[in-house]
Amino acid sequence: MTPFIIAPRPSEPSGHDRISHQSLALMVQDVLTTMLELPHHALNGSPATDVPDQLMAAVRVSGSWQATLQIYAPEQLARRIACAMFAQATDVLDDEDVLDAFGEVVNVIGGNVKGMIDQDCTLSLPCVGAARPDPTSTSLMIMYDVCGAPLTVELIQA
Amino acid sequence: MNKEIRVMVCDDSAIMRRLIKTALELEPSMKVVCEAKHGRDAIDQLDPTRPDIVVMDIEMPVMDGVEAVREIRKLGRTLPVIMFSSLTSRGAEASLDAIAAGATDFATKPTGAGHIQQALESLRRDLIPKLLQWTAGKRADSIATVSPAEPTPAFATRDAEGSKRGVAAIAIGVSTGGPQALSKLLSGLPHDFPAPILIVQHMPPVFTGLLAERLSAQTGHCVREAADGDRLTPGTILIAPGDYHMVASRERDGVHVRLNQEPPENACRPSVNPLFCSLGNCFGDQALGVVLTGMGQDGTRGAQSLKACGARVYVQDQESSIVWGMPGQVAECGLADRVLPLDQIAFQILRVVGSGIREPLTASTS
Repeated sequence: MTPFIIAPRPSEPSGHDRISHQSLALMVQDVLTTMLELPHHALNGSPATDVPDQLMAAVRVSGSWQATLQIYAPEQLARRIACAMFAQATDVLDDEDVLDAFGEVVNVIGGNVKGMIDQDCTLSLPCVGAARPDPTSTSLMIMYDVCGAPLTVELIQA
Repeated sequence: MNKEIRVMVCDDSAIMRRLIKTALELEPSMKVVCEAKHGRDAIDQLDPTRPDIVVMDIEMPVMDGVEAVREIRKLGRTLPVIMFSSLTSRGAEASLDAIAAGATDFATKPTGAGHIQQALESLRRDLIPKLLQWTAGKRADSIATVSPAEPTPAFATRDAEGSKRGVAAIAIGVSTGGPQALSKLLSGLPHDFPAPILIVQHMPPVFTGLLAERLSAQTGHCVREAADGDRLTPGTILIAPGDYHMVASRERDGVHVRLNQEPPENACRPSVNPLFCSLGNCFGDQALGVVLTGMGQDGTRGAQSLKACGARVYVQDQESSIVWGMPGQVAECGLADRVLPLDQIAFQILRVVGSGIREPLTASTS
């Protein structure tokens, strides 16, 4: 399913019917640190509404436990993620590379979310498009500054 | 003229599909002719793209890899399907399910750090050799790694087995096709089997533990993954854990299993050779080495060592082997006392164990 497996931490609970803020944050940090090696720090507050060229990638977890995982980042950060993932310079990557890489990030995090749920679930293919996070959302949402750009991760459990 | 090998890659991860394609592009004889996003997609693309081999992910949306293998076999397709699994208990379980459903072999995905170069290196090391091996017959320029020698007739006795003492301990080496072969062999042995059996199955960590559980369930024997210090007792059946060599060691209070992480042999850890050599050292001519289906030549050096101790060596025959690499190599080197169909190996083991079990674990090497 995912090329880069990040094992759930032994101290993390499993079999729960929900994912905590902390466990989601650890999964995202693992991806940023281990898979992409990108400098980052957590942000507080609501996502900004004036970020240009926002991309969104999403996967759906379906089955006896259901949720949608969405990540948002400006195109510039998505490109930076693709560079890190493919270990190549920006100028050799095309738009498809950027979309694939951004989709892979949500796929990896989604795979780990699914792995923590001790229930029979399936993960959809990732889809990537242009969208902005809803600052009024009450879903589980965490934000990071990654290389000076905002990365928002939202888990809608339903 | 070289024949081009047409590869289908089925994985829901676009990055993984790209990685596999990049790694395959370095092999001049291989061409990715289809990238499928899930099992259903792969099945739909079989006719239009006519692949020679499929690399199949396991966990995918719409139709997972295990179900896809079942469907492919139901369609009567015999092309090799290599499962590409994560090195997790879930991945291991699904891989074993897939093999039971008709998958040909499996390779494990890159894990840990996500550097693309490391991932590519992992693919070149773990996946590409399997693709080359399973398509060797289709490539005009292939060098057959499965022994081209004429199969030795079944029950060919190359030395005077009748003059040997009975067998007190058994070591089995196996690779590709191992789960089914082991299940069949162990099912043919009684539950009060009076000698210890040590097994090296080429598999990574996690997989070996699950294999032991499955063999226990399938055969009724208590099969478990070996732990360092385990004492060999009659009826003990132990599998070497992935990433560890397993050897027998004669100590003051009997023969024990010792695990170590010395360098891989024949790119394998566990390797059959250290096990066979150690069994010969502990039991001398009362040891028996059995080489079952598998690629490569692991076990040949160990078989030489066993023969030097006066021990017996049996190998599975070509016809019943999924791959006649390991057993074929031993047979071709003249080291096999018997070359047997899989369904006759248990019977033959029972025949020779009979007289060796009076004092099974105190046998001297003299």
